[in-house]
Amino acid sequence: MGNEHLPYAADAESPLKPAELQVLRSQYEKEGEYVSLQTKFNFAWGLIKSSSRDDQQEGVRLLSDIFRASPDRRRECLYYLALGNYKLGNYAEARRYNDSLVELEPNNLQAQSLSQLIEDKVNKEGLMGMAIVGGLAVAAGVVGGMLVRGAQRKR
Amino acid sequence: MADRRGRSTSPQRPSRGHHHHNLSEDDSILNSRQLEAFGRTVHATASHLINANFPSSDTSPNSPDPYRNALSSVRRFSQRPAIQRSVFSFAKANPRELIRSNFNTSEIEHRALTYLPDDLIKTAPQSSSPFSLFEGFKATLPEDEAEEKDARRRKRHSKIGSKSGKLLEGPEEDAPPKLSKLKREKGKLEHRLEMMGVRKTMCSSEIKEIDNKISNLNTMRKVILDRLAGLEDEERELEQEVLDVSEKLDTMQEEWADEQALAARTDPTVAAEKEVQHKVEEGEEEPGFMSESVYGKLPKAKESPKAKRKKTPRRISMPVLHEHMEPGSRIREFEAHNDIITALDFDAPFGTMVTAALDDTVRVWDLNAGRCMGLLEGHLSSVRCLQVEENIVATGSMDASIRLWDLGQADYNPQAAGTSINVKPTIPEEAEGSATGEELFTPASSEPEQPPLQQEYHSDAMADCHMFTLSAHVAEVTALNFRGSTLVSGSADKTLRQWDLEKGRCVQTLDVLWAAAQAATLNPPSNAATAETGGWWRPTGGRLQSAEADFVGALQVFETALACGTADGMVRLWDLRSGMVHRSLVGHTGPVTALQFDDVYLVTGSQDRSIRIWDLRTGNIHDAFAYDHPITSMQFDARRIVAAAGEDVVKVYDKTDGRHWDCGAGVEGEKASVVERVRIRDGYLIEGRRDGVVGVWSC
Repeated sequence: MGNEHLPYAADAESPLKPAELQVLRSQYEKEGEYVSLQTKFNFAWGLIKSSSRDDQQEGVRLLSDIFRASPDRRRECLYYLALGNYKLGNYAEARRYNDSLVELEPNNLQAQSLSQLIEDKVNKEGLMGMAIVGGLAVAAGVVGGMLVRGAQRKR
Repeated sequence: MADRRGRSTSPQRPSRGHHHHNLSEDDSILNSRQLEAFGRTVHATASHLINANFPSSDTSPNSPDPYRNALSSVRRFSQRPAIQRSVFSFAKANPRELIRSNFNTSEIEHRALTYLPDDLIKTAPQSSSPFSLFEGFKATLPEDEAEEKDARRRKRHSKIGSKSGKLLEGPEEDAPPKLSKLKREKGKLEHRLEMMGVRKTMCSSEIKEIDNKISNLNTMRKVILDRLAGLEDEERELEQEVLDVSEKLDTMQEEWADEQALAARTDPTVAAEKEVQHKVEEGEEEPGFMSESVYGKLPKAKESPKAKRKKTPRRISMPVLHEHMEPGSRIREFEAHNDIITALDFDAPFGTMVTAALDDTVRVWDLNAGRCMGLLEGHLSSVRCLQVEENIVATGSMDASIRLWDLGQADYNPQAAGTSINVKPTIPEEAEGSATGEELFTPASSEPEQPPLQQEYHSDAMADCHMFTLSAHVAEVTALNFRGSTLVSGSADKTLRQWDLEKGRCVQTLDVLWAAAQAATLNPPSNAATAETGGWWRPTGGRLQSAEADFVGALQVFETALACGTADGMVRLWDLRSGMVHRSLVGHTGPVTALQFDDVYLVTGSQDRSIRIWDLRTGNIHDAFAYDHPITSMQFDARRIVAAAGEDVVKVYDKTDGRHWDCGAGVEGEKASVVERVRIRDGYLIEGRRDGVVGVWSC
């Protein structure tokens, strides 16, 4: 895929204006049950770009609908699903989708850069998590040590 | 992968046993090297902290350092790659994610909703569409946005331009700014052109998508139509069962009532032996009480004692299948007669039809099963006109009489043997006889000659149907119509007669020629042409059409209003209270053969090949159209005007969209006879042809 076909992750970080999103939403609602693929995607993408977590979730849900409904668009959807989940902080899912996409399209620049982003994010947050766990362990050790010491003193 | 990471440049670089391991499995989230580095850091920090906090622990010789021991064991533990891995697969998701995914219900729900199975992901096919979704997005969304921006830019530009324009407009100004502006303009236009292309492909692919949906929906519709047909069949069977059961209930109840009556009769006689007066009173009460208790147990008992027991009541449910069929699709076709169909009518879609033909028979048909229910016998000559309304049939014959029939008295079992018209039962008489029971009245002498068509009905099935005969006309009855208890008939004796169906006698005779003359003298026509040609009677055309045409071609009655079309091409509107013509509609140049009106329009068909639609409020012509041959029959329902115009197809005119189309066997190039008579009711079309075949179509 060339450069033009997929947005970079940075694009997902710039939310649409509420009015713009509203246009997409009303279009989506107007078409009702027989909504066209493009309209659905437009709305989903607008939602993913949003900064509200609920909107992002809704967007990912719509995208997974699209993914199921139209096999022709699955590869594209993989990328957007990865992006959406990345924004949601569901890095495991994001990685799952993106890795599959990279596997299918090794030359996809957007997917490559997204996978880089996910890696970084996971490392950062993962280490932070470990730090929290470690901190807890230290605290436990300190308390334990104090208990031991107290016991020793009593003896 | 690892090289790209900044973290790999950590000062403590452990390269003992983990290095090769990292390389082999570097698709894990955190490689173990980092983990170990992290572990070390934690260890160092913690031990440092502990040592700082408890300096005495070092000095005391016999107390082991518990923390250090614990931590080093942890470290040893975590140095084993498998365990590291399992720990980290658990920690693959970061803690926040973990908490969310395991404890927040809405998150769990969301995950469940959006989960996609791996095999779908792995096998995602290459997209074949000419544009990506994102391009589509860009092409739809930024339309106004881009224009807005453009507009803004332009505005700003023009402001600047207006300010600096005067400065720039000096003589020394050279090409480059203009050039770049033009270039920008060109680029913008090219971009727009590109976008236009994307939008175009988007539209066409959307159309393709919709086409697919439509075809899907069509197949779904077909499936559901089949289901509907099945349901209607079931419904019919069930109704029949209900009918059977209620009939059984009736007979049981009658038997019971008889028994009670018998008991009542014997009871008092036994009682009278001992105590005369009291017992008689009790005896009279007793059977009444008992029978009432029995009646109470039978819920439907009270409905049954009807004066007139209908053996074939009208259907409770309304078939709607034909409404959902494609207009013009064949529902049924069968050979009803051997000769030209002269008249036909039916009461409701999938109901009962009556046909008459030049072979002098009148047949009653079950449209549902496509079977002949029996013959209406009694006319001495062939029937020219007939009408079916509910269970009442009126037939007007060439023998100058009109007969009325009650189909409710017919002895017909819809589920008797031989469901198909084409199957001739080998022993029709016996099979039918046994099916209908012993009470069958069999007049051996009056068994008429059976026509060689189908003998599925037994000969006297319609024996009880005849109600009465109206005979006052002196020439063949060519048109009749009834509504409520009023029947009006038109005859070749040039009179119309009004009949009261309750009393069964003629209440008024209208002489068409006399009344027409009266009308002509009372309201002399304004145009001189008619006055010259004799005023009230207009001979039609040079050919001797009236000789072969019926004098009264068609008529319809509604309360006190009567419309009749005659061989002179006039349509006269009568007031039955005064017996006078109060309006004549002039226009047809041939004998009127068909006529029908509703609350606004009157539609007539004529041998002059035209159908005319008159506005009853103004008396003017509203619309008219012509076919290639004389109209022999015409009727309309809420949506369509159908006409038989000497072709092998029925001519259909859609009132709503003004479309003309053909319906019938001739459409698909089948060899079919000319359609002679046509009737339509609620989109259910029946046509009778010259060779005696009757076709049923959805319309």
